[in-house]
Amino acid sequence: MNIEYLDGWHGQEHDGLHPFRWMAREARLRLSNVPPGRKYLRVTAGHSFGAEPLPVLRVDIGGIPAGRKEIALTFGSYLIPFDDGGDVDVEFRLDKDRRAAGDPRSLGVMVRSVDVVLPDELGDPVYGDGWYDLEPDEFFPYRWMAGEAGIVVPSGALRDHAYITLPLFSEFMDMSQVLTVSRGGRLCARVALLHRWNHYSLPLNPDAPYEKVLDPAILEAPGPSAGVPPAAPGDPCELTFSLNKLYPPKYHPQDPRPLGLRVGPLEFHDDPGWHAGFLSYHANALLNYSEMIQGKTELESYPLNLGIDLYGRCNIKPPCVYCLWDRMKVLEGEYAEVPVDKETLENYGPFFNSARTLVNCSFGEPLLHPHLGDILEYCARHKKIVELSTNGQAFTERTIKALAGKPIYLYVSLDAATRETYARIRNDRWDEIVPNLLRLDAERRKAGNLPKIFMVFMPMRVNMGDMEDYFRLCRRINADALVLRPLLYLWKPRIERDRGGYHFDYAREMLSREEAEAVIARAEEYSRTYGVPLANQYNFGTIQEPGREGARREGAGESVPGPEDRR
Amino acid sequence: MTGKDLDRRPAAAPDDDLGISKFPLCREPWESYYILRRGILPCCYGNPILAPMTEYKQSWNSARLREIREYLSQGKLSPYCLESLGCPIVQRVLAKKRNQPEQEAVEIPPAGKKSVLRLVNRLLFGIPGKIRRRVRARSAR
Repeated sequence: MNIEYLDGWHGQEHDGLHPFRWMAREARLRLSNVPPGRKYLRVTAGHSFGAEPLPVLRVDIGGIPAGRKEIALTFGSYLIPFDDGGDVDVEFRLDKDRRAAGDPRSLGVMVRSVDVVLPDELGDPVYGDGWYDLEPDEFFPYRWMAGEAGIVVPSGALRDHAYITLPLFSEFMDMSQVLTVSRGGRLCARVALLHRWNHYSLPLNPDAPYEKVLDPAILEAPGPSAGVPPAAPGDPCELTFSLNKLYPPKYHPQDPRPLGLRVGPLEFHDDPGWHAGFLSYHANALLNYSEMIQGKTELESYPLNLGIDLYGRCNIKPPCVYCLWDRMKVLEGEYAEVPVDKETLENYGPFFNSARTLVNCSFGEPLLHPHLGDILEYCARHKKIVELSTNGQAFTERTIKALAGKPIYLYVSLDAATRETYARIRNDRWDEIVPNLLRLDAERRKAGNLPKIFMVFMPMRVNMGDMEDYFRLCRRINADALVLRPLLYLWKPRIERDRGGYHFDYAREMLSREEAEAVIARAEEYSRTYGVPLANQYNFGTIQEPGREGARREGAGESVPGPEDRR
Repeated sequence: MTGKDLDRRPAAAPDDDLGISKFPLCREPWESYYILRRGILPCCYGNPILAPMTEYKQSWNSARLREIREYLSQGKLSPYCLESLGCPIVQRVLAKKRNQPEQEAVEIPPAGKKSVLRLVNRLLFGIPGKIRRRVRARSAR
């Protein structure tokens, strides 16, 4: 197949990243030796007209109107389906053009490329209209989609698989944003979207659509959009995603694009059991939120975050100066040594299946668990995010291997940036900590930057002088964020210990609100200076506005979801 | 997708319709649950334990947890929450109340017999809470 540019195209230029050519108000090209069957003309274009009104490109293929596309300001791909084979003439017409000073040419849109997508020859899905460029995120790259977007999927994948799984991030907290997926104009799925990243499994067969949205009477939110696009027979390889509402521009004032939803990588599968698990998770999450919104106290749903207790032993003896070890072990009583492993999690049944996040809250070091690798593998297979807190003294070849590549938030509690302070809080093993963190960072870089590393710093009098060095340490080991966590408030703690030449009095170490606020202000400044995102857990329970969730890398607009939400 | 789709673009949501205001004072007792060796907790700051580790099924809708949800859904802190002073939400609400005494930021329930005894115990005898909890855990088992 060959593409010949005829009239209406200017010479090739370069925008610094990619070559492109200006298209005049009207242009033509000829496709030759085009195979028969359904295929898509893909035009990758942008323009310089400004935000509104956007230019409209009409495309005739073989003399017949084939598509009408509103071209967005930033470069994007537009797919126009057609069936003609052999030699095919294509005509492009814009509703406006412009002329630059000193340049007599008619300037329409900038076209980076024109090609033909053949579903039978595709290896990966092709993103068409309504998608923006890939952006990085904590676990995977994603694209923003606008209100409506199309994907051409390989016909082989459609033949061999019944379902797609994909992570979606909705900014709406009340599940009032609804995604409709259709194929060839027929409904495949219509789902209310959960807040933040969640995995979904959706059927590809429009003969067995899945619909799960909340009762609008509960939400008092607009219902889904008018529905799926009109049927387009012979268009089976294109999935159309449409949303009932967009993410309001007031929450992304620096980004003028119409933004709807963040969409992670698509995967195909053919496992009804796996699919049923996702549906059950989604149905429970919707029920949980609706029960919460309605103020129900007796719940039919199960929690979305499950606190677990993997291991009851610790490798720091005597325990860290602020640790409530002795009291907790009394409370744990006969359960202190009960094994908690993969089977235990499995036995939790709906409590495990319904959870999006597993938060380990052991009074013990979880990395010492003899079956750590199995447990983390099991959780990753079930698409769970695991939160682990570690004292940083259990990084070995075994534990680093178990952690690398898994969707884990790893909280490393050091609270010190110098050997002296560390000895006052824990022990004299400081010298091994940083080399091990560097080793962990090197291994995770080979494994998709997972786990995410959050360095915990609890401001106390003992470590007040260490905070700036702690930010430097975070930068050195490429930590994803520094977590500022308050020392647990205790009423008359009566915990006093002498260690590292320092008398630690828990009651005296707790900072007043005013002192804590000064520390937070200083941490925010260091965060900007050292480029290390800050997750402030003093804000626990504060509902962030959408788009402001998580720690934020000031100036860079990157967010680190999660760690400020829980301990 | 075809060119006919241009007129079906969704409208931007109303600026105040992001769902934030629909949620209770704290979401934890609905969306989180802790099955720990030291016992069942409704949140990571919870104190005291609600039940032993093995009773996680029964405890999810226990009277204690239902009471916590009841208060929170009304924008108030339950007696249980008011005992969990390590919780930053509780601290914030209490600080707000201290700073705005004329406004009722939180409704503290009238001190019942249990609360009075607990106060007397703390002030006069200082019997460690762990003994009380150990006794309670043992009797629960």
